[in-house]
Amino acid sequence: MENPTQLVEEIQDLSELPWASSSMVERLSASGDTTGIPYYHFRWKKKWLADYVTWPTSNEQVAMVLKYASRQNIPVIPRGGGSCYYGSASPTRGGIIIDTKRMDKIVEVNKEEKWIRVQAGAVWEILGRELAKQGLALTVSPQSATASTLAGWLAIGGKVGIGTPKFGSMLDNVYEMTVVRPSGQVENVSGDEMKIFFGTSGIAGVVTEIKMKIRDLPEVVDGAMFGFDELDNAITAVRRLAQRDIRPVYLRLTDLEYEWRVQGGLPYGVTSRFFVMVTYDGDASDVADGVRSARGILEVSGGRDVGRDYYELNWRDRFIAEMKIKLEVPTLSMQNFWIPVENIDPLVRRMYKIANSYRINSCFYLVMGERTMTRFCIFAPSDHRHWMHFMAGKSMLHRMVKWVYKYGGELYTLGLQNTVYLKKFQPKDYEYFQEIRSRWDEKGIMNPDKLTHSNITYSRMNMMFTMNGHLRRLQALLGRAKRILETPVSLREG
Amino acid sequence: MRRFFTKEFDFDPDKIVLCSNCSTCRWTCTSYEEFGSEAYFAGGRLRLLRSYVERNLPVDDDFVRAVYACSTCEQCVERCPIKVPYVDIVEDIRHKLVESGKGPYGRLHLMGDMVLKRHNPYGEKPEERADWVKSDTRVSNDSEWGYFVGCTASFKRKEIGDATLRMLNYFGIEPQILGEEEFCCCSPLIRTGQIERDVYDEAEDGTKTYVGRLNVGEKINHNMEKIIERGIKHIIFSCSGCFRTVTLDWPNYYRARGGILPFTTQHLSQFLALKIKQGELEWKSSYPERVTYHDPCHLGRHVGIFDAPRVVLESIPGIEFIEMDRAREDAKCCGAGGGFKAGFGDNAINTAERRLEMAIDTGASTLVSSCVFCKLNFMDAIKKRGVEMKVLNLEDLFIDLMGLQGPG
Repeated sequence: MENPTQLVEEIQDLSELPWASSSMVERLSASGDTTGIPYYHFRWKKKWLADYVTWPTSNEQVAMVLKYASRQNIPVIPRGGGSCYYGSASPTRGGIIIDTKRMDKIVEVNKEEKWIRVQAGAVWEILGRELAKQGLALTVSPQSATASTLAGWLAIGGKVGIGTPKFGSMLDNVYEMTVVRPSGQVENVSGDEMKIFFGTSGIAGVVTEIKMKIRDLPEVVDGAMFGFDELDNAITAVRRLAQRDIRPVYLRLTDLEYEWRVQGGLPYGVTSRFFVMVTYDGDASDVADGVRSARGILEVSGGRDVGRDYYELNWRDRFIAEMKIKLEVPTLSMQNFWIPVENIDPLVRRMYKIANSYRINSCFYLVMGERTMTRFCIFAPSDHRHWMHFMAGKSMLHRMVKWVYKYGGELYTLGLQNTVYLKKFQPKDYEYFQEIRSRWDEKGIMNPDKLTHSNITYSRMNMMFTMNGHLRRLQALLGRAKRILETPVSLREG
Repeated sequence: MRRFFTKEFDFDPDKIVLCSNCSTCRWTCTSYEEFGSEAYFAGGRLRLLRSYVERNLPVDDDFVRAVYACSTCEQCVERCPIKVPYVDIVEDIRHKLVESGKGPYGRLHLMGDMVLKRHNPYGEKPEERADWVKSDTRVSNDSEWGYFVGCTASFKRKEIGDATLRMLNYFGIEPQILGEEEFCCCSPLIRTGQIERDVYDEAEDGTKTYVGRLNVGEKINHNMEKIIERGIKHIIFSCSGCFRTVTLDWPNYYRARGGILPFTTQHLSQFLALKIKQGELEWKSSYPERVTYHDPCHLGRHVGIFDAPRVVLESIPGIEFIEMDRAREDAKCCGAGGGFKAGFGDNAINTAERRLEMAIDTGASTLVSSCVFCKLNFMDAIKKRGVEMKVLNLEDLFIDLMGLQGPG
């Protein structure tokens, strides 16, 4: 490989690179993300269309782009799977997108020491499949494993996914990483040095290679799903399951509307309103023990088995659980929180209360990250073509953010959309991110407007959503607030 | 709602909002694998479509290219958490591009021109359509059974028509064939959006002469009339593309009986599987080799026929049948369909090469399929790779093992 520094000096224009493009279709497709909202809602994203898209395949090529961008003072937006709901990979000032997905090679697999070295643009699901061929498995993976990349999950924190209750967060499972600093410097980092790359949306640099833990393919995967009539019983069950020594790989709490929207209905005879699903994997005896005692805990807590088929259906859908909710929902707005499980109860009740006053739909699911902390995900299914309904959903999510902070939680994913809350409610973290940026990205070219600068003010946003909420309530008072989505029959019946 | 319509490119807004852009469909997409860009997979294309429509952008050549660089294999629909009917949408976009004069891509329009002029996309003489029928095979004029030969078996791979006819004759069926009266089933036209358009002849100096108006509905209804006139009740297909189009698309153009076709359609793999189940087929020789099967997209994911070919293969004495890494609903596309091979020849061969790799990984010596386009594409890939692997269709295997080869 030629010296990258020399190559960079030769580049005066990105169009010289065969792995870069400025065509409209490439820029449009790489500038979008999961937010299923129309472009008029993107006004606050400012210059949301990138100027260039690049597809590097090596550290040297990433360094080349970063050096060029640094010299020219052009924003750089590292991009993985583009499956973040909060605009983590959305341009706001144009610039160059570094699409890392072509860096997806497995570099080395060490079966004895149980680790793998892999390029960070690899998609979790493909990596899992390749490992399975060799009798190996990933320890952790995100719920969006079908689309997201290793570096993508890392950049949004990698705290909750499949396997995290048992093996810890992604950070706990990574030994070492190769990164390209905003200056173009390629370095290997390990230990505490890695922390600044987790949950920082790429502001500290582009992660290009990861050495991470793997394990033997589990002998058995099994679990159970129980329905509860009362929320506090379901939460108690989740807390007890999370505290046990035999750790599940997946532990989830959902409500009726979520199940109804995702699976289209419940098994015959099931009338519960909340559902706890738990899965164990590993060797046969451990799994059998885990499932047996989990069933005991769930029964003692007042739950009723919803049946094997329904459990299996939900386990099979674990990677598409968030997306399947869009089945009959044109526009899906949601907000994710990181909060102790014991604080969930009042928040869920608050969510239902607000949704009811706005005459909108709402549902939630909660996945355990570790023993006490959970990812609490609230959905506001809507249709953006019904403006008041859509904005009322947004207003509900906004109000829930405030409530979550009151109850000791914080936002799970920050990205572009939530930086405004970060600045308002987590000033210390905001300062921490600013320190990272000023140390590693002096020119501020790396993924601008994420974590260290908000392009909207909290007071303006608060006023907008509060006003929208009041208007929707007025609409409801006048009997003009149409429910545009069907509500589950069992919910309507109370 | 007006904001969703542009002067240049209007599109149903309800379809645009279906996709959540979760990108679950990305890594199994053959087109993404080939081009490696977000504009070249189902979710990315829908994102593009939304951008073009909502931002009122002028349709450019890159957009047309991205829309046509798809083999309509439906792997994305299979993967989609909410089953967005992507193939219907992309065919609809292509249709609108053709309507607006921006499509089809590249030289794909030649297929439509030829179908208008000669009733087949190859531009062959219609009167030679039945020239493949050999003297030692039998067709009739009054049978309830029909064999829809298709353009490729009629003109380009005549051995397929011959093998299928011999297979039917073996079971005592003397089918009717439409011969010169058979027009293209319109699969390549529907897939590439050429539903209706004006056709011109272009002279070397650039002057255009109006030839006529291509209308898929007319071609389909012509075929329907001829089939009904002849009293055909059951039609056998050797071509997966024709089978898919007649079974799923023709009802949209057949206005009588509420679109219910007055005949049954059966792919030859189904026909053979049925014969095996009824105990009417005893193989005359064995095939002691390791064999793997490639599911053609049009037969598998589009129509849902996965078991029949496997029933046939597994019944052959001595065969060691092995599945590829991705099979049945999850089968990887070979890249031959949806106008992809016609529009992006080299990319289609690269795609077939990747699928061939999976077949090689099984250790199989023979790759069997049930689609003439898959077979052709795999043969091109084998030639490119220079590997030793037999590529056969089910009918090839049948006549080989039953000793039914014709003279020459």
